[in-house]
Amino acid sequence: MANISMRGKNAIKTFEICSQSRTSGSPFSGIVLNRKTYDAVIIGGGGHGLAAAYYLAKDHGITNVAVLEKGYIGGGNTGRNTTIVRSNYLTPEGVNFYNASVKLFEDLSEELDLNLFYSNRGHFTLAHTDSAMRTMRWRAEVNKHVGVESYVVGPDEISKACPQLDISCSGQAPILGALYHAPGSVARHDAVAWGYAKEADRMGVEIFQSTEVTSIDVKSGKVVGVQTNKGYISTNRVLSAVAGFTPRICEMVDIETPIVIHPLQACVTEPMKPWLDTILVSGSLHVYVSQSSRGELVMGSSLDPYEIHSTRSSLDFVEGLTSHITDMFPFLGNVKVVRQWAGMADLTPDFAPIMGKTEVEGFYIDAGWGTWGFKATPISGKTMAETIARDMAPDMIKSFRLSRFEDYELTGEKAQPRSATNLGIAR
Amino acid sequence: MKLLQCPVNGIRPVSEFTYGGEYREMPNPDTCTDKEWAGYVHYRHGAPGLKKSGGTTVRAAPGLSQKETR
Repeated sequence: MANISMRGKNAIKTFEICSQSRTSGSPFSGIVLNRKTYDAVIIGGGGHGLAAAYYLAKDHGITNVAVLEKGYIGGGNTGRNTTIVRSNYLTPEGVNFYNASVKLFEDLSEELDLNLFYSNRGHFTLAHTDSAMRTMRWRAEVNKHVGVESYVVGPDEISKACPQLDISCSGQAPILGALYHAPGSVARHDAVAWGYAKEADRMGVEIFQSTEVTSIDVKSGKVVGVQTNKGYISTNRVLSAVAGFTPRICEMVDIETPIVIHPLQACVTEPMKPWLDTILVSGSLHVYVSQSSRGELVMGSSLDPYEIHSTRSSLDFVEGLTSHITDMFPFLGNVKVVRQWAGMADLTPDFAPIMGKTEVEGFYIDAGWGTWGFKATPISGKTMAETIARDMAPDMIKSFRLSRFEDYELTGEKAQPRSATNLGIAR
Repeated sequence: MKLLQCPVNGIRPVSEFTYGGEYREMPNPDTCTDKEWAGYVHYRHGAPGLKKSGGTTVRAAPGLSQKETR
């Protein structure tokens, strides 16, 4: 087990929840690297990296693992998304993959022994045009075909589920119908990172916060170690699970990817009494909204239309979003937005992730999650753990391999998140 | 609303423009390998740093034609 005498100076109060197993009260493994060699190193202590560490230990018995996090766990896109979990994608591969994730999520609070506030709400993707209705019918049929409960509903059913919604959207874009997706849920996103970290830590995985990878040592096409600001680690297996930092990490091993970084912004209102049971998404109005267990409305919009490696937020975003949300719910005009933030979304040209092996032996990638990574946290962790343990990607993620771009075998996932629809990146 | 100083159309809302990504040299399709061509089509310099501009190609909003300034 880890050397617990080394206390993290940067102990953050919220992490006390994770450190109960340690008598020192120190968060995870302290501030210096405990060993010189690890069987696997995971770069990135977000949900995906921590889930991979957890499943490496639990499913494959590999516990001599270090998770290196430059900041604090769950402080990146894991704590910046709008917490929606769903599986109503367009291709059978996509639906099956995300459905496996939803199934893992449903039992995760119990498995991790931490309340993730997983809350099944039902999810409406609103259609304001005939062409949108056509896409909703298509998605519904693919979903039904693989056994996922999604179907098309009309305005009456939407009104029944959400009487507060102005079906005419203030006359701007009347709602014709929606794709209803019964498994659609929300969860406390940072708790997902904490839960995976807590259990991985309990099984012997070592988690180092404030630990930045500065270079990756590759010899004859094989990973042999990583250099960090805390020292050098020998390892022959490295997983990069760093979302918006993926291009920087890939540069260290000289691997090219199609990933570009665009900011995605979100905000919350002041808390209100619970009134919004469902999750509502509108492609035409570039809005998605749900009410958190604290009563805040959690709202997101579309990607900023330019590349920038920054988590700044803008007035432009909140202005556009509130204008559309008040078209849907005019009575929200006096409600205050109390916080807004941004995450760095790592986007691929086909709106599908990049998962699996790379040209460099022992360097594995879990990236390209753009605006849809949170919902995939459990399944990406599980499948990446298998990829690392067996040095072979399971069938479920083979179509997401990095080499698909060189093979011109892009995925056909057009049911892209609403947040990505405005992105006219010229490719 | 963010405004952009367009060299062709003057000051316009940024929402009327599409960011086209970094300028890239096109390899000769007759002589390059399939891998080089795939790299040109798909791969990008995603890491932060200076992005190369290829003159001022302005891709205007739908409905307007693409204009070049030189």
